[in-house]
Amino acid sequence: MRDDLSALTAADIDSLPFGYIALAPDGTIRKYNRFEADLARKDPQEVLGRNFFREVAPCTQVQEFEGRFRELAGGTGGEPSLTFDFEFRFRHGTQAVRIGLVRSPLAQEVIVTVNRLRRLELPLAAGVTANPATGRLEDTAGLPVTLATEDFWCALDTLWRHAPEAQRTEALHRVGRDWGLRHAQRVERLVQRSHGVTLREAELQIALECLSGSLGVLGLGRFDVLFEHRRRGLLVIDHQDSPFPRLLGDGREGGCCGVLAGLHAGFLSHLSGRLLSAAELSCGHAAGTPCRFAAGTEARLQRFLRPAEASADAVLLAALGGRLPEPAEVPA
Amino acid sequence: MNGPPVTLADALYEVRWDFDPARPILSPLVSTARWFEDFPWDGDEDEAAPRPLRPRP
Repeated sequence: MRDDLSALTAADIDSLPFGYIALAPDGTIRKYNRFEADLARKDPQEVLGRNFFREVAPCTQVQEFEGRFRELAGGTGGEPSLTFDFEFRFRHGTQAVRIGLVRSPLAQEVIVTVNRLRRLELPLAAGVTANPATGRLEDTAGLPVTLATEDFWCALDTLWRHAPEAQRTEALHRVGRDWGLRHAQRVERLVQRSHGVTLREAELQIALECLSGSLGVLGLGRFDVLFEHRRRGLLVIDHQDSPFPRLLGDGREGGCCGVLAGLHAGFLSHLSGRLLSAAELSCGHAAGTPCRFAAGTEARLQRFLRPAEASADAVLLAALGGRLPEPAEVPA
Repeated sequence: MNGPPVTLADALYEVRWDFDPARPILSPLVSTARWFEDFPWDGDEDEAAPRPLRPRP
């Protein structure tokens, strides 16, 4: 959670696929986005200027919510942000949510983010049975399965290991995107079976959780998508616990998660219905540090990765941890 | 979820790919398709940054 949430415009806030409420230190609602209005079934115009805890969401008048808010707003909590799970009690029912609180340096307010928690329970399992007589593996549906260990990824890497960075990146992206499109189709089937909707009909956060959770079955970590840069035509992905820095990481330029960049491009292409590309901005070599990617159309991404000096794209690229190109790499 | 687990390999049969915009969305909240519908793929004009970048060596 980052404090660039506090710098969003009203249109940006309304486009967020999660609840967003800006509160003054006394709990007065200053901003209230469309998603939160849909979730709570409130009219944003009616809640603005009212006290969130007393007049709009009385169920939050408890230590675990209002108490934490007061500590954060008063600056006594130490950390500038925190996250906790909570259950909203609406007239129309209850809703489990994950609350984020961010103390904004702007206008002395606290940003509250509200993500719905859903028990997806996708029937994913890595279970396979081996037939020693034939040397074949089968899944629970009787379909043949092959397993690729980490040795496979190391071997695949040797194909391009000594190639120029641009060639290696492009090749890994191509492999990853095709894999991502195919993998998204597999997840699509499971979601349709389990929930009766396509991923594109599902809530964006739910669709992304399905795809993220499906990577865990393969031992590839999980990811979150940051939506703050939508207006710039970009989606930013933080991928936790990628195995590639451990497997392939040697400090090489351009990072080592090129195949994951392609995978994310495939996922987002499937969800958006448009062929997208992605690039690795920074590699999570250190424990607990995510690998960061940016995704968008190929044209937009190329502009973003080779920004004019002192442009807004250059500032954003640096802020996201990306590598600024050398002057010779920037087009005139 | 009831029933036996389904592996990732058990896939790609009877999948419905078409998205029908007229079909009622179960959730009143933002669907994936709606969210991407007006996505500004070209981004804003890359206006000048309000502050200078780090100095180049």
